[in-house]
Amino acid sequence: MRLADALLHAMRTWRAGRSGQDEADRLVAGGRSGPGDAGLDHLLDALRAPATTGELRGEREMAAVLAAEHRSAALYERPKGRVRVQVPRATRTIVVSVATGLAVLSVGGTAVAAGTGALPAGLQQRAHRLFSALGVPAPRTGPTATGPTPGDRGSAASPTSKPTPTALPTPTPPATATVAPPTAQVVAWCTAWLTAENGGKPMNGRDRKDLAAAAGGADEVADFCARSGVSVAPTTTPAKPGRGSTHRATPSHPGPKK
Amino acid sequence: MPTDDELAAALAAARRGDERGFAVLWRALHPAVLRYLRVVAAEAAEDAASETWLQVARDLDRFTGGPGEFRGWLFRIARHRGIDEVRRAGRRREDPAEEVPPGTPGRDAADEAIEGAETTWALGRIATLPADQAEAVMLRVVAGLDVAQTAQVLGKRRGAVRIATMRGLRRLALDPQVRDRAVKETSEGV
Repeated sequence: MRLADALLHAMRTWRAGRSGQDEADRLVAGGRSGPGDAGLDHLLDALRAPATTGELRGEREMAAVLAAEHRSAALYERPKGRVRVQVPRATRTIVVSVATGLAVLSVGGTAVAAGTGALPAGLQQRAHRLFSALGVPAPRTGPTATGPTPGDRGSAASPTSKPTPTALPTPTPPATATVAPPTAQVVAWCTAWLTAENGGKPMNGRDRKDLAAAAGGADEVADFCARSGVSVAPTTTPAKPGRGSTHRATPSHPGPKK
Repeated sequence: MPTDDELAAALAAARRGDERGFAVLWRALHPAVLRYLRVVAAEAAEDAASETWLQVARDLDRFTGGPGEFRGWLFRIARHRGIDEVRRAGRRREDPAEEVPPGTPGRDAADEAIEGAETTWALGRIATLPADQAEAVMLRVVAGLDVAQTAQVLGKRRGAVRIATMRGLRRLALDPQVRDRAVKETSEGV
Protein backbone atom coordinates (compact mmCIF):
# COMPACT_ATOMS: atom_id res chain seq x y z
CA MET A 1 0.00 0.00 0.00
CA ARG A 2 2.78 2.34 1.02
CA LEU A 3 4.63 1.50 -2.19
CA ALA A 4 1.61 2.42 -4.28
CA ASP A 5 1.30 5.77 -2.46
CA ALA A 6 4.97 6.47 -3.05
CA LEU A 7 4.66 5.65 -6.74
CA LEU A 8 1.67 7.95 -7.07
CA HIS A 9 3.53 10.70 -5.28
CA ALA A 10 6.49 10.27 -7.57
CA MET A 11 4.31 10.42 -10.65
CA ARG A 12 2.78 13.66 -9.41
CA THR A 13 6.16 15.20 -8.54
CA TRP A 14 7.89 14.24 -11.74
CA ARG A 15 5.56 15.74 -14.27
CA ALA A 16 7.33 16.71 -17.41
CA GLY A 17 8.14 20.34 -18.13
CA ARG A 18 9.50 23.27 -16.22
CA SER A 19 8.29 22.17 -12.78
CA GLY A 20 10.09 18.85 -13.24
CA GLN A 21 13.32 20.60 -14.20
CA ASP A 22 13.05 22.95 -11.23
CA GLU A 23 12.51 19.98 -8.97
CA ALA A 24 15.60 18.35 -10.46
CA ASP A 25 17.66 21.50 -9.83
CA ARG A 26 16.45 21.55 -6.24
CA LEU A 27 17.46 17.93 -5.68
CA VAL A 28 20.83 18.44 -7.34
CA ALA A 29 21.45 21.36 -5.00
CA GLY A 30 20.87 19.02 -2.05
CA GLY A 31 17.15 19.52 -1.46
CA ARG A 32 15.04 16.69 -0.07
CA SER A 33 12.44 15.09 -2.27
CA GLY A 34 10.17 14.31 0.69
CA PRO A 35 8.79 11.17 2.31
CA GLY A 36 7.41 9.73 -0.91
CA ASP A 37 10.86 9.71 -2.54
CA ALA A 38 13.01 8.68 0.40
CA GLY A 39 14.70 6.13 -1.83
CA LEU A 40 15.93 8.82 -4.20
CA ASP A 41 17.16 10.91 -1.27
CA HIS A 42 19.02 7.88 0.01
CA LEU A 43 20.57 7.24 -3.40
CA LEU A 44 21.71 10.85 -3.84
CA ASP A 45 23.18 10.85 -0.32
CA ALA A 46 25.07 7.68 -1.14
CA LEU A 47 26.44 9.23 -4.32
CA ARG A 48 27.62 12.26 -2.33
CA ALA A 49 28.92 10.24 0.61
CA PRO A 50 32.32 11.23 2.01
CA ALA A 51 35.33 9.62 0.39
CA THR A 52 36.14 6.11 1.55
CA THR A 53 39.65 5.14 2.64
CA GLY A 54 39.90 3.03 -0.49
CA GLU A 55 39.20 6.00 -2.70
CA LEU A 56 41.87 8.09 -0.97
CA ARG A 57 44.55 5.43 -0.71
CA GLY A 58 47.96 6.49 -1.97
CA GLU A 59 47.46 10.22 -1.63
CA ARG A 60 51.12 10.92 -0.87
CA GLU A 61 52.48 8.81 -3.70
CA MET A 62 49.99 10.34 -6.08
CA ALA A 63 50.89 13.90 -5.05
CA ALA A 64 54.59 13.13 -5.57
CA VAL A 65 53.92 11.58 -8.98
CA LEU A 66 51.80 14.54 -10.05
CA ALA A 67 54.39 17.09 -8.95
CA ALA A 68 57.07 15.15 -10.85
CA GLU A 69 54.87 14.93 -13.93
CA HIS A 70 54.24 18.65 -13.73
CA ARG A 71 57.97 19.34 -13.45
CA SER A 72 58.95 17.18 -16.40
CA ALA A 73 56.13 18.59 -18.50
CA ALA A 74 57.33 22.10 -17.70
CA LEU A 75 60.85 21.09 -18.74
CA TYR A 76 60.16 19.15 -21.88
CA GLU A 77 56.68 19.79 -23.15
CA ARG A 78 56.22 23.51 -22.89
CA PRO A 79 57.53 24.26 -26.39
CA LYS A 80 55.10 21.75 -27.85
CA GLY A 81 52.10 23.88 -27.08
CA ARG A 82 53.61 27.34 -27.25
CA VAL A 83 56.19 27.21 -29.99
CA ARG A 84 53.80 28.72 -32.53
CA VAL A 85 55.78 31.68 -33.76
CA GLN A 86 53.67 34.55 -34.90
CA VAL A 87 54.96 35.72 -38.28
CA PRO A 88 53.47 38.97 -39.53
CA ARG A 89 51.51 38.62 -42.74
CA ALA A 90 53.80 41.08 -44.56
CA THR A 91 56.90 39.11 -43.62
CA ARG A 92 55.25 35.89 -44.70
CA THR A 93 54.37 37.44 -48.06
CA ILE A 94 57.94 38.64 -48.58
CA VAL A 95 59.43 35.28 -47.64
CA VAL A 96 57.07 33.43 -49.97
CA SER A 97 57.75 35.83 -52.86
CA VAL A 98 61.50 35.64 -52.44
CA ALA A 99 61.39 31.85 -52.25
CA THR A 100 59.22 31.69 -55.36
CA GLY A 101 61.53 34.10 -57.18
CA LEU A 102 64.58 32.04 -56.30
CA ALA A 103 62.85 28.88 -57.47
CA VAL A 104 61.91 30.52 -60.79
CA LEU A 105 65.43 31.88 -61.23
CA SER A 106 67.12 28.58 -60.52
CA VAL A 107 64.80 26.65 -62.83
CA GLY A 108 65.10 29.32 -65.50
CA GLY A 109 68.84 29.51 -65.06
CA THR A 110 69.15 25.78 -65.44
CA ALA A 111 67.09 25.97 -68.60
CA VAL A 112 69.35 28.69 -70.03
CA ALA A 113 72.43 26.75 -68.97
CA ALA A 114 71.05 23.65 -70.64
CA GLY A 115 70.30 25.63 -73.78
CA THR A 116 73.85 26.90 -74.03
CA GLY A 117 75.27 23.52 -73.11
CA ALA A 118 76.89 24.87 -69.98
CA LEU A 119 75.68 22.17 -67.57
CA PRO A 120 77.94 19.42 -66.24
CA ALA A 121 78.16 16.57 -68.73
CA GLY A 122 75.76 14.19 -66.92
CA LEU A 123 73.08 16.80 -66.44
CA GLN A 124 73.58 18.15 -69.92
CA GLN A 125 73.13 14.68 -71.38
CA ARG A 126 69.89 14.25 -69.46
CA ALA A 127 68.67 17.70 -70.44
CA HIS A 128 69.53 16.96 -74.03
CA ARG A 129 67.63 13.71 -73.95
CA LEU A 130 64.56 15.40 -72.45
CA PHE A 131 64.56 18.69 -74.33
CA SER A 132 66.52 18.12 -77.52
CA ALA A 133 63.43 19.25 -79.42
CA LEU A 134 63.83 22.63 -77.74
CA GLY A 135 67.41 22.89 -78.91
CA VAL A 136 69.23 21.71 -75.82
CA PRO A 137 72.60 20.43 -77.02
CA ALA A 138 74.34 17.27 -75.86
CA PRO A 139 77.28 17.58 -73.45
CA ARG A 140 80.50 18.99 -74.85
CA THR A 141 83.09 16.54 -73.70
CA GLY A 142 86.10 17.56 -75.73
CA PRO A 143 86.39 21.33 -75.56
CA THR A 144 85.52 21.63 -71.89
CA ALA A 145 88.70 19.80 -71.01
CA THR A 146 90.92 22.12 -73.00
CA GLY A 147 89.04 25.21 -71.90
CA PRO A 148 89.22 28.30 -74.12
CA THR A 149 92.01 26.98 -76.36
CA PRO A 150 89.88 25.77 -79.30
CA GLY A 151 88.27 29.17 -79.71
CA ASP A 152 91.57 31.05 -79.36
CA ARG A 153 93.61 28.95 -81.64
CA GLY A 154 90.91 28.58 -84.24
CA SER A 155 91.87 25.87 -86.69
CA ALA A 156 95.01 24.80 -84.91
CA ALA A 157 95.80 21.16 -85.33
CA SER A 158 95.79 19.90 -81.75
CA PRO A 159 92.24 20.78 -80.63
CA THR A 160 90.65 19.80 -83.92
CA SER A 161 92.23 16.40 -83.91
CA LYS A 162 90.74 15.57 -80.55
CA PRO A 163 87.06 15.45 -81.40
CA THR A 164 87.43 13.53 -84.64
CA PRO A 165 86.85 9.80 -84.48
CA THR A 166 90.20 9.19 -86.16
CA ALA A 167 92.10 10.73 -83.28
CA LEU A 168 94.06 8.52 -80.94
CA PRO A 169 92.25 7.55 -77.73
CA THR A 170 95.09 8.93 -75.57
CA PRO A 171 93.66 12.43 -74.97
CA THR A 172 90.56 11.06 -73.28
CA PRO A 173 91.53 9.51 -69.95
CA PRO A 174 88.48 7.34 -69.12
CA ALA A 175 89.23 4.04 -70.81
CA THR A 176 85.64 2.91 -71.16
CA ALA A 177 84.65 6.08 -73.01
CA THR A 178 87.41 6.03 -75.63
CA VAL A 179 85.07 6.02 -78.61
CA ALA A 180 82.01 7.68 -77.18
CA PRO A 181 83.27 11.21 -76.40
CA PRO A 182 84.26 12.28 -79.93
CA THR A 183 81.12 10.69 -81.33
CA ALA A 184 78.96 12.46 -78.78
CA GLN A 185 80.71 15.70 -79.59
CA VAL A 186 80.25 15.24 -83.30
CA VAL A 187 76.64 14.21 -82.82
CA ALA A 188 76.05 17.32 -80.72
CA TRP A 189 77.68 19.55 -83.29
CA CYS A 190 75.91 17.98 -86.19
CA THR A 191 72.59 18.04 -84.41
CA ALA A 192 73.04 21.73 -83.69
CA TRP A 193 74.22 22.37 -87.24
CA LEU A 194 71.33 20.49 -88.84
CA THR A 195 68.89 22.20 -86.51
CA ALA A 196 70.26 25.57 -87.57
CA GLU A 197 70.18 24.54 -91.24
CA ASN A 198 66.53 23.55 -90.88
CA GLY A 199 65.72 26.99 -89.56
CA GLY A 200 65.76 26.09 -85.89
CA LYS A 201 67.96 27.48 -83.22
CA PRO A 202 71.07 29.13 -84.63
CA MET A 203 74.32 27.35 -83.88
CA ASN A 204 76.80 28.57 -81.36
CA GLY A 205 79.60 30.41 -83.17
CA ARG A 206 82.44 28.60 -81.51
CA ASP A 207 80.84 25.21 -82.09
CA ARG A 208 80.32 26.10 -85.72
CA LYS A 209 83.98 26.95 -86.09
CA ASP A 210 85.06 23.76 -84.30
CA LEU A 211 82.74 21.67 -86.41
CA ALA A 212 84.06 23.24 -89.60
CA ALA A 213 87.59 22.53 -88.45
CA ALA A 214 86.74 18.94 -87.62
CA ALA A 215 85.04 18.43 -90.97
CA GLY A 216 87.99 19.98 -92.80
CA GLY A 217 86.21 23.10 -93.97
CA ALA A 218 82.78 24.75 -93.80
CA ASP A 219 81.81 23.17 -97.11
CA GLU A 220 82.58 19.69 -95.81
CA VAL A 221 80.24 19.93 -92.82
CA ALA A 222 77.22 18.51 -94.62
CA ASP A 223 79.09 15.46 -95.81
CA PHE A 224 80.86 15.11 -92.50
CA CYS A 225 77.60 15.06 -90.59
CA ALA A 226 75.99 12.73 -93.10
CA ARG A 227 78.89 10.34 -92.53
CA SER A 228 78.50 10.58 -88.78
CA GLY A 229 74.90 9.42 -89.20
CA VAL A 230 73.27 12.37 -87.50
CA SER A 231 69.85 13.29 -88.75
CA VAL A 232 67.26 15.62 -87.37
CA ALA A 233 63.65 14.63 -87.64
CA PRO A 234 61.99 17.34 -89.66
CA THR A 235 58.89 17.35 -87.45
CA THR A 236 60.84 18.46 -84.40
CA THR A 237 62.29 21.47 -86.21
CA PRO A 238 59.66 23.02 -88.41
CA ALA A 239 61.01 25.64 -90.81
CA LYS A 240 60.76 29.00 -89.06
CA PRO A 241 57.21 28.99 -87.78
CA GLY A 242 57.08 32.46 -86.30
CA ARG A 243 56.62 32.08 -82.56
CA GLY A 244 58.05 28.64 -82.24
CA SER A 245 61.40 29.59 -83.66
CA THR A 246 61.76 32.72 -81.59
CA HIS A 247 60.99 30.67 -78.56
CA ARG A 248 63.71 28.25 -79.38
CA ALA A 249 66.09 30.98 -80.25
CA THR A 250 66.06 32.59 -76.83
CA PRO A 251 68.55 30.31 -75.11
CA SER A 252 71.04 30.80 -77.91
CA HIS A 253 71.28 34.56 -77.63
CA PRO A 254 74.62 34.38 -75.85
CA GLY A 255 75.97 32.48 -78.87
CA PRO A 256 75.84 35.12 -81.61
CA LYS A 257 77.15 37.79 -79.25
CA LYS A 258 80.49 36.03 -78.88
CA MET B 1 35.71 19.37 1.55
CA PRO B 2 37.99 22.40 1.22
CA THR B 3 36.52 25.81 0.51
CA ASP B 4 37.03 27.55 -2.82
CA ASP B 5 39.70 29.75 -1.26
CA GLU B 6 41.60 26.70 -0.07
CA LEU B 7 41.28 25.12 -3.48
CA ALA B 8 42.52 28.33 -5.14
CA ALA B 9 45.54 28.32 -2.83
CA ALA B 10 46.16 24.64 -3.60
CA LEU B 11 45.90 25.37 -7.31
CA ALA B 12 48.48 28.13 -7.04
CA ALA B 13 50.77 25.88 -5.01
CA ALA B 14 50.45 23.08 -7.55
CA ARG B 15 51.32 25.50 -10.34
CA ARG B 16 54.50 26.33 -8.44
CA GLY B 17 55.22 22.61 -8.37
CA ASP B 18 54.38 22.17 -4.68
CA GLU B 19 53.43 18.57 -3.86
CA ARG B 20 51.09 19.72 -1.10
CA GLY B 21 49.05 21.68 -3.63
CA PHE B 22 48.56 18.53 -5.69
CA ALA B 23 47.71 16.59 -2.53
CA VAL B 24 44.92 19.00 -1.57
CA LEU B 25 43.45 19.03 -5.07
CA TRP B 26 43.59 15.27 -5.35
CA ARG B 27 42.07 14.63 -1.93
CA ALA B 28 39.26 17.10 -2.61
CA LEU B 29 38.33 15.98 -6.11
CA HIS B 30 39.60 12.46 -6.73
CA PRO B 31 36.65 10.67 -5.08
CA ALA B 32 34.20 12.51 -7.33
CA VAL B 33 36.36 11.85 -10.40
CA LEU B 34 36.58 8.16 -9.51
CA ARG B 35 32.83 7.83 -8.92
CA TYR B 36 32.05 9.61 -12.17
CA LEU B 37 34.47 7.32 -13.98
CA ARG B 38 32.97 4.22 -12.40
CA VAL B 39 29.79 5.15 -14.25
CA VAL B 40 31.58 6.09 -17.51
CA ALA B 41 34.36 3.52 -17.62
CA ALA B 42 33.22 0.78 -15.16
CA GLU B 43 36.21 -1.48 -14.35
CA ALA B 44 38.61 0.84 -16.14
CA ALA B 45 37.71 3.69 -13.76
CA GLU B 46 40.90 3.51 -11.68
CA ASP B 47 43.16 3.62 -14.72
CA ALA B 48 41.14 6.40 -16.28
CA ALA B 49 41.33 8.42 -13.05
CA SER B 50 45.12 8.06 -12.92
CA GLU B 51 45.40 9.13 -16.55
CA THR B 52 43.15 12.09 -15.79
CA TRP B 53 45.33 13.35 -12.95
CA LEU B 54 48.54 12.85 -14.90
CA GLN B 55 47.16 14.91 -17.73
CA VAL B 56 46.05 17.58 -15.26
CA ALA B 57 49.61 17.74 -13.91
CA ARG B 58 51.09 17.95 -17.40
CA ASP B 59 48.73 20.64 -18.66
CA LEU B 60 48.33 22.65 -15.49
CA ASP B 61 50.54 25.48 -16.77
CA ARG B 62 48.25 25.88 -19.76
CA PHE B 63 45.15 26.07 -17.57
CA THR B 64 44.01 29.50 -16.52
CA GLY B 65 41.15 29.97 -14.11
CA GLY B 66 39.95 29.51 -10.59
CA PRO B 67 38.65 26.48 -8.67
CA GLY B 68 35.27 26.56 -10.45
CA GLU B 69 36.83 26.42 -13.89
CA PHE B 70 39.31 23.83 -12.64
CA ARG B 71 36.46 21.52 -11.68
CA GLY B 72 34.96 21.78 -15.17
CA TRP B 73 38.34 21.31 -16.81
CA LEU B 74 39.12 18.30 -14.60
CA PHE B 75 35.90 16.52 -15.49
CA ARG B 76 36.30 17.31 -19.17
CA ILE B 77 39.66 15.54 -19.06
CA ALA B 78 38.16 12.73 -16.97
CA ARG B 79 35.46 12.15 -19.55
CA HIS B 80 37.96 11.87 -22.40
CA ARG B 81 40.26 9.57 -20.47
CA GLY B 82 37.29 7.46 -19.42
CA ILE B 83 36.16 7.02 -23.01
CA ASP B 84 39.76 6.17 -24.01
CA GLU B 85 40.05 3.54 -21.30
CA VAL B 86 36.75 1.95 -22.28
CA ARG B 87 38.01 1.63 -25.85
CA ARG B 88 41.29 0.17 -24.67
CA ALA B 89 39.51 -2.26 -22.33
CA GLY B 90 37.32 -3.30 -25.24
CA ARG B 91 40.41 -4.14 -27.25
CA ARG B 92 41.86 -6.07 -24.32
CA ARG B 93 38.69 -8.10 -23.98
CA GLU B 94 39.09 -9.20 -27.59
CA ASP B 95 42.48 -10.63 -26.62
CA PRO B 96 41.75 -13.36 -24.04
CA ALA B 97 45.47 -13.96 -23.38
CA GLU B 98 45.66 -10.76 -21.40
CA GLU B 99 42.79 -11.57 -19.09
CA VAL B 100 43.92 -11.50 -15.49
CA PRO B 101 42.24 -13.82 -12.98
CA PRO B 102 40.67 -11.85 -10.14
CA GLY B 103 42.62 -12.11 -6.91
CA THR B 104 40.95 -12.96 -3.61
CA PRO B 105 40.00 -9.77 -1.82
CA GLY B 106 41.88 -9.21 1.44
CA ARG B 107 40.45 -8.15 4.76
CA ASP B 108 41.00 -4.43 4.02
CA ALA B 109 39.20 -4.73 0.72
CA ALA B 110 36.28 -6.39 2.44
CA ASP B 111 36.09 -3.61 5.03
CA GLU B 112 36.21 -1.01 2.31
CA ALA B 113 33.49 -2.80 0.41
CA ILE B 114 31.24 -2.44 3.45
CA GLU B 115 32.29 1.18 3.92
CA GLY B 116 31.43 2.15 0.36
CA ALA B 117 28.64 -0.38 -0.12
CA GLU B 118 25.81 2.13 -0.40
CA THR B 119 27.83 4.31 -2.76
CA THR B 120 28.64 1.30 -4.90
CA TRP B 121 24.97 0.33 -4.92
CA ALA B 122 23.97 3.87 -5.90
CA LEU B 123 26.54 3.97 -8.70
CA GLY B 124 25.18 0.65 -9.89
CA ARG B 125 21.69 2.16 -10.15
CA ILE B 126 23.05 5.20 -12.00
CA ALA B 127 24.76 2.86 -14.44
CA THR B 128 21.36 1.44 -15.44
CA LEU B 129 20.33 4.85 -16.82
CA PRO B 130 20.82 5.83 -20.44
CA ALA B 131 24.36 7.19 -20.80
CA ASP B 132 23.44 10.85 -21.25
CA GLN B 133 21.17 10.82 -18.18
CA ALA B 134 23.71 8.96 -16.07
CA GLU B 135 26.49 11.39 -16.96
CA ALA B 136 24.31 14.44 -16.42
CA VAL B 137 23.25 13.22 -12.97
CA MET B 138 26.83 12.35 -11.99
CA LEU B 139 28.29 15.65 -13.16
CA ARG B 140 25.56 17.69 -11.48
CA VAL B 141 25.21 15.74 -8.24
CA VAL B 142 28.66 14.24 -7.63
CA ALA B 143 31.05 16.54 -9.52
CA GLY B 144 29.05 19.57 -8.41
CA LEU B 145 29.17 21.22 -11.83
CA ASP B 146 26.52 23.75 -12.78
CA VAL B 147 24.36 23.37 -15.87
CA ALA B 148 26.70 25.42 -18.09
CA GLN B 149 29.81 23.48 -17.07
CA THR B 150 28.03 20.15 -17.46
CA ALA B 151 26.87 21.22 -20.90
CA GLN B 152 30.47 22.07 -21.80
CA VAL B 153 31.83 18.76 -20.54
CA LEU B 154 29.20 16.76 -22.39
CA GLY B 155 29.23 18.93 -25.50
CA LYS B 156 25.48 19.48 -25.23
CA ARG B 157 23.19 22.46 -24.89
CA ARG B 158 22.14 23.61 -21.45
CA GLY B 159 18.51 22.72 -22.08
CA ALA B 160 19.50 19.20 -23.04
CA VAL B 161 21.51 18.86 -19.84
CA ARG B 162 18.60 20.02 -17.67
CA ILE B 163 16.21 17.61 -19.35
CA ALA B 164 18.67 14.71 -19.12
CA THR B 165 19.20 15.41 -15.41
CA MET B 166 15.47 15.57 -14.76
CA ARG B 167 14.73 12.38 -16.68
CA GLY B 168 17.58 10.59 -14.93
CA LEU B 169 16.35 11.56 -11.48
CA ARG B 170 12.76 10.70 -12.37
CA ARG B 171 13.80 7.30 -13.62
CA LEU B 172 15.80 6.68 -10.44
CA ALA B 173 12.81 7.70 -8.29
CA LEU B 174 10.73 5.07 -10.06
CA ASP B 175 13.46 2.41 -9.97
CA PRO B 176 12.01 -0.54 -7.96
CA GLN B 177 15.34 -1.13 -6.18
CA VAL B 178 15.47 2.52 -5.12
CA ARG B 179 11.86 2.40 -3.97
CA ASP B 180 12.59 -0.83 -2.11
CA ARG B 181 15.44 0.86 -0.20
CA ALA B 182 13.09 3.64 0.77
CA VAL B 183 10.55 1.21 2.17
CA LYS B 184 13.27 -0.66 4.07
CA GLU B 185 14.72 2.55 5.47
CA THR B 186 11.38 3.93 6.65
CA SER B 187 10.27 0.60 8.12
CA GLU B 188 13.61 0.26 9.91
CA GLY B 189 13.39 3.82 11.15
CA VAL B 190 9.85 3.47 12.55
